[in-house]
Amino acid sequence: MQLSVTESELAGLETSRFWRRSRNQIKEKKDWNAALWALLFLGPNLILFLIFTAYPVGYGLYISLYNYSILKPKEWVGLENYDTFIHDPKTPDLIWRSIYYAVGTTIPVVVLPLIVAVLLSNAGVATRPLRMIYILPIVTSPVAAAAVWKWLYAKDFGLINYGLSLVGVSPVDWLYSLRWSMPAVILMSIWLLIPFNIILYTAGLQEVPGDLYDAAAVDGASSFQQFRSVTVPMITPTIFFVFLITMINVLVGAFDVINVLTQGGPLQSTNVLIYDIYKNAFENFRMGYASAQAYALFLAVLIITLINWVLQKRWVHYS
Amino acid sequence: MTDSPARRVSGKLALFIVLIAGALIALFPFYWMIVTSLKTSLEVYRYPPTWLPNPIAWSNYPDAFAKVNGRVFFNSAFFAITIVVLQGLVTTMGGFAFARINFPYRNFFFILYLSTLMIPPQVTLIPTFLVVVRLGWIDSYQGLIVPILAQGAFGTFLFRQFFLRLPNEMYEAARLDGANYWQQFWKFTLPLSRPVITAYAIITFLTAWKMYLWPVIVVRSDDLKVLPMVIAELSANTSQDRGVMMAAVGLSVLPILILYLVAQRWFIEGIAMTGQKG
Repeated sequence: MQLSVTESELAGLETSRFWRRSRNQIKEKKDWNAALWALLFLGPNLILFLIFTAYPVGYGLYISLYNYSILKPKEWVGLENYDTFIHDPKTPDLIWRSIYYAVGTTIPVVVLPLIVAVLLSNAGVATRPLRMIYILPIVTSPVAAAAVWKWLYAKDFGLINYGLSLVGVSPVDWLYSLRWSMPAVILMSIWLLIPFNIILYTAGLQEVPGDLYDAAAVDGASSFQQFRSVTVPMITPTIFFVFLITMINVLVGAFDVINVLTQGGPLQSTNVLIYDIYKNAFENFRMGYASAQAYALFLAVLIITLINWVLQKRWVHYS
Repeated sequence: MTDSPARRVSGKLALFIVLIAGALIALFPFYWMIVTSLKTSLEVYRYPPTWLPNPIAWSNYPDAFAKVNGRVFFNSAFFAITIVVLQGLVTTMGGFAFARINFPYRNFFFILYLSTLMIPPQVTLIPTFLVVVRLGWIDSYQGLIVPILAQGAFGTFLFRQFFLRLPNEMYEAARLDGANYWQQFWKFTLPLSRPVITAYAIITFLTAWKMYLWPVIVVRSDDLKVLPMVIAELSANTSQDRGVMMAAVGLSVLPILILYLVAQRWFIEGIAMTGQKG
């Protein structure tokens, strides 16, 4: 091999060009070979992706342009579903409630676990057993947890009202009150989603170098000052990641919680967009309209994600 | 500012009071579930509520098992285990391709695939349902399971990150020995990946065990119902005895609770692994 290379160098332009070309051919053949192997390894993924992700994303957009019910033949209506959604007098309330639920759940679920994780890391020998208790709610499904919370929230025999009666508060019908049903749903969602984020933050905190705290302590920084000027800046990538995961978890988990606790009631007071989509599609069989709503949600999520990516450049510091 | 010993002690005390109060909130629904599950139907509706059941109504558990019976448990276990195994195969293979096979536009395809995580599930829910209808898979195990297998972007990502961190020298040596990609994947990549496979398996099992929305849409007959569906039905049925219902909830949580107590480390490491940057 080496000999032939030397030969080709001696043989001048023609042969060297020949060599270069054949080497390119080998590389191309290798790429082609690698692509074939990649196709083999990614084949199952690709088939599933095409049938159950790519096609549905396109097909959803298509049926959003139809008056589509599984019971009747579909009928082309163009953008009418979107128009109906935008001009429905119920829509502003629906969107407002969705924002209320999403923000009311997401902010505590991003902030509280960080505080808990930091406090836990300072608890010495109690850190492990306490962390184990804090994380325990991840064993319950949203449905199982909601079934228990529904009983805690009960008006006459519920433990929450009993606890409140001890401090002189008269009983509240949590899940059947226009005012309190949404806070009740949010509180339970927070309880459910906190443990997962405690784990993520705990892992993030372990990557903060200990000598940074030592240096801060030598400078006389209080615990809170250390938290603000060492911990938070060092784990901004974790905070950002937790935020993204929480957004996904809220979108995925909210249906289960609402369906068991309130079914969107009373009088729509806990009916958020994702629940409305389900009801329109699978109870009212307005699948075209529900698809249009789902695409409106998609657009909103896309915009929020884009804003996040732009903003994260300002406050997330990757070391 | 000086940190006097007295100040430090009172600070620690405050820390523990806050932490224990929080732990009680986390624990309380579990306590109430267990206590209620052991109360007679008479005691359940006693006011003020009793903190411990007296007498203990053990019979709630057999009664609950008549509702969430062996068939329901089997369905949940079959659903979760099949997804762990099949999706595990799909995602380890995918992760290997993205980490170890140098094919054209690899990073572009990877980012494209990963970005599907940001699609809200509601967007694909209706059309996926219609696909399953057209395949004739409504009210069947394949209708329940196969569409969930497609939710492998996260697993693929997890495995890719892990495979990237395996030593390059190993793969070069294998190539020199003439091992093809499949041999590299099967003979040493998978055996070396036990930690990440365990973590993936636990998270995926947990996710599948808890799943409610998709089963509720696809399943019609009692024979195919999974645990969350039955729990939701019991909870919605107001004439259902609350003690028996709480026992049913307890039974549905029990397998995961045992898994958590036995394999707590893997729960935590598995979830923590998802947060690692690549």
